[in-house]
Amino acid sequence: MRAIQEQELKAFVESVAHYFKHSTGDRAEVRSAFLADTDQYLPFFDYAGIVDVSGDWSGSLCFAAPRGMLSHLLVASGMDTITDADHLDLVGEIANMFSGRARKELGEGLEISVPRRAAGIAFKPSSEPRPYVVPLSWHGFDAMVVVDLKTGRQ
Amino acid sequence: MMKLLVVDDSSVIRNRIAQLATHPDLPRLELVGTARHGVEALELARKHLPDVVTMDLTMPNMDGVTCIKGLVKLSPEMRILVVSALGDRKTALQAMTNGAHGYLHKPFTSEELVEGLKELLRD
Repeated sequence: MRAIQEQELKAFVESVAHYFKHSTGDRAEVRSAFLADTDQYLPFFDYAGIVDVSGDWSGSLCFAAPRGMLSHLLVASGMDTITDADHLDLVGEIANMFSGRARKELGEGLEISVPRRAAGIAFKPSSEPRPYVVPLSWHGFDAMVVVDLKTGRQ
Repeated sequence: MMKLLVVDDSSVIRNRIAQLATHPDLPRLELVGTARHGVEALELARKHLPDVVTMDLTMPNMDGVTCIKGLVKLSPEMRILVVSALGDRKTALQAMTNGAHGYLHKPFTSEELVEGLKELLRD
């Protein structure tokens, strides 16, 4: 098994950029991806959506974001009354959209699960190969995508 | 007035589609229900026999393609628009060969959803 390579990671980076531009009209600033340190916690965010991956790939994709970013996105989608459940729902749906679009590039061998959603958890990457972290900003809010994938494909 | 059923495991997406279904450019649609997964969708479809369905694919309990097969058995005339994050060609083809009439990728804009529903109802 090998880790995802930088060229393949582009599929996720592009899916992040596409999501914000297409659904809000405003670009997100997607910064350079880096390999996470496995002995340190990643930055803490209010909500996280996690999609488990199987098939030709194994691992997960996680989108973690602050409440303020998700509230802005919910308002931008036309919602005027927002609850905690809506934040959780959206963070999972965004993780689902990132994975679904990346599948277009990486092929249907990348099978994705229904997203899991979590509030207030800290991530500590624990396994080798080290996952990639893709930091991003949108409307002054920071968020991150953690791509923790490996494959048997050559 | 045509009857609409919205199927998606995301409440945010369900609410957004339900809201956009009242768009003035569309024929009048009566929202008869929203479902979180395929099992709920089939129950609601048996009860209300909708004319139009928007269908997510990745859902718990029963996925969208299995649900589409059930809906087509129930009523072959039902118009089904898939609204999914899955962007690959094979999945789209699988949905269409099993009875979907249109395919819209998430994330979608308001205009894209309205246009997708218009196309669906025009056929």
